[in-house]
Amino acid sequence: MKNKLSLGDWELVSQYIDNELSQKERSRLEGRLQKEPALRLAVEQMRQTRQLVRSLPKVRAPRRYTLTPEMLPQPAWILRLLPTFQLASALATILFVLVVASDLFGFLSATSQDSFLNLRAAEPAASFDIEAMPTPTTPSFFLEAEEESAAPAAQDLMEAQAPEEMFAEEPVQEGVVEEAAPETPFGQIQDSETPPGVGIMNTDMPSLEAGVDERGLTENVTGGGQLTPVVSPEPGTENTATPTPSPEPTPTPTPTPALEDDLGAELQEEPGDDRRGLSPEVSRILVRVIEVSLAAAATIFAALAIWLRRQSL
Amino acid sequence: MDEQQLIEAAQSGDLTAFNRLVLSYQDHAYNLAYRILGDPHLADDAAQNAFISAYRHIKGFRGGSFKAWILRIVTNACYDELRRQKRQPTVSIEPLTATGEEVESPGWLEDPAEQPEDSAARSELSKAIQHCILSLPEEFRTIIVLVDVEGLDYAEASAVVGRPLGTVKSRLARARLRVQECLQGFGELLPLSFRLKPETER
Repeated sequence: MKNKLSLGDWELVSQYIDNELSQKERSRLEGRLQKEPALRLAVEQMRQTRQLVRSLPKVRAPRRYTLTPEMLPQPAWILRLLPTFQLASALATILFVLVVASDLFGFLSATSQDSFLNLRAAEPAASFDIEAMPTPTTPSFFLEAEEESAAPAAQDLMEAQAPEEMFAEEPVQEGVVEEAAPETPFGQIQDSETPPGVGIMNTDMPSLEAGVDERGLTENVTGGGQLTPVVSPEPGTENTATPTPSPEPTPTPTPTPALEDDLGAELQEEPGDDRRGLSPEVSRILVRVIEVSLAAAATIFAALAIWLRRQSL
Repeated sequence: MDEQQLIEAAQSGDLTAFNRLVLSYQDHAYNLAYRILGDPHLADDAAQNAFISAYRHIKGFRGGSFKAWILRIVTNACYDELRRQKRQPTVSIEPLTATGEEVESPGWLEDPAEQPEDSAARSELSKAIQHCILSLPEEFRTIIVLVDVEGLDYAEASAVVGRPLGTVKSRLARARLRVQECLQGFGELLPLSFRLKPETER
């Protein structure tokens, strides 16, 4: 009866002669070897086969296989650009991330630009609006107040006050205020309830333009008999003769010393001054174009780098 | 410099250091290529190409058995050559007889690897063994040469051929079995003990 070993048994035998069996498998196989003669023969044959194969002579190399620089393939000139493309791809990616991050955080967004631009646009407009207001003419509420008050009294007051005092650059003391303007043409009297100099300080039109020519105002004051609000040459200056308007909401923002400086600076702008920069829509488009360009550049450089790397391999 | 230092120097671009490694492993590389391909000229080309490729990819060596790493490149070079032969089979240049038939010469019995400077013993048995190895499929052939000819262990052979350990064990067993069956046909060349038939077959 022919006892043919299975392929699995032959594999066990092969591993057995190479000592590659686990302890458990080895013990099991050795137990079988004592009982199965065919298995013992298979082990012997496998050992001999391995020995025969191992007896093959080791053939030596017929020559030296050492390399020379000439034998090494020189990379094509384009392959030398691989590091350049890798660097370019990395830089483009970093710039893309920075631009997108800046856009997301609003540094370059149209919204912030809009608000910024609007603010800057509003300031000069406010000042221009003020400037556009009829300075020589008295606003309506002033006129109404004037009607109510004694006109002769106002004129007397204006004539009595020296021009120099009107344009006094130094801050006027409280006492001076009370002394010089006991009564305003608009009926507003510097009484105890009114803090001295408040009405003067709250003057809208006259005290806005800090850089207005004094001579012009002086002429307005002295000539024509019109009641011209006196403008303080410097912020914070109190003009005792300035008629104070009634405390009503004014169409223009109340000028503050700090704002007067800003407005004065704005007035010095030329009409054609383009400090606003690009329009919001153009800015948005520009940012998007930059983002798309950087993304495309990063992608292209990365693809070229990958292709060159494969070529070099 | 020890091998590790040579490898590091070669990875830094030192061609001289790499050539010292070549000299250390070129016999193993050629022997493997010859046993797989069975032709000295093809083995020569494969070995040279393998070392050129090894230098280009020396930076890809991450440690472990450098011998196994080199032999893997040699094995791949041999496989490339075998695939090329399948695509472009070579035309026999054997002389023709009067009837136009090729003169069949027992080329398989010759051992072309034997060079004048080669000290390997001329043996018909080795020729027969070589013949049986060349009759194996490529995968089995490589495994038995790596383990039984080059002396690699199972793990190193697994790393060379890029196959799991279980696959290596299975293929080695089947390769040995096939060589054993093949050698049975060379009766008189085999040692007496090898010619003994199994008790169950008598």
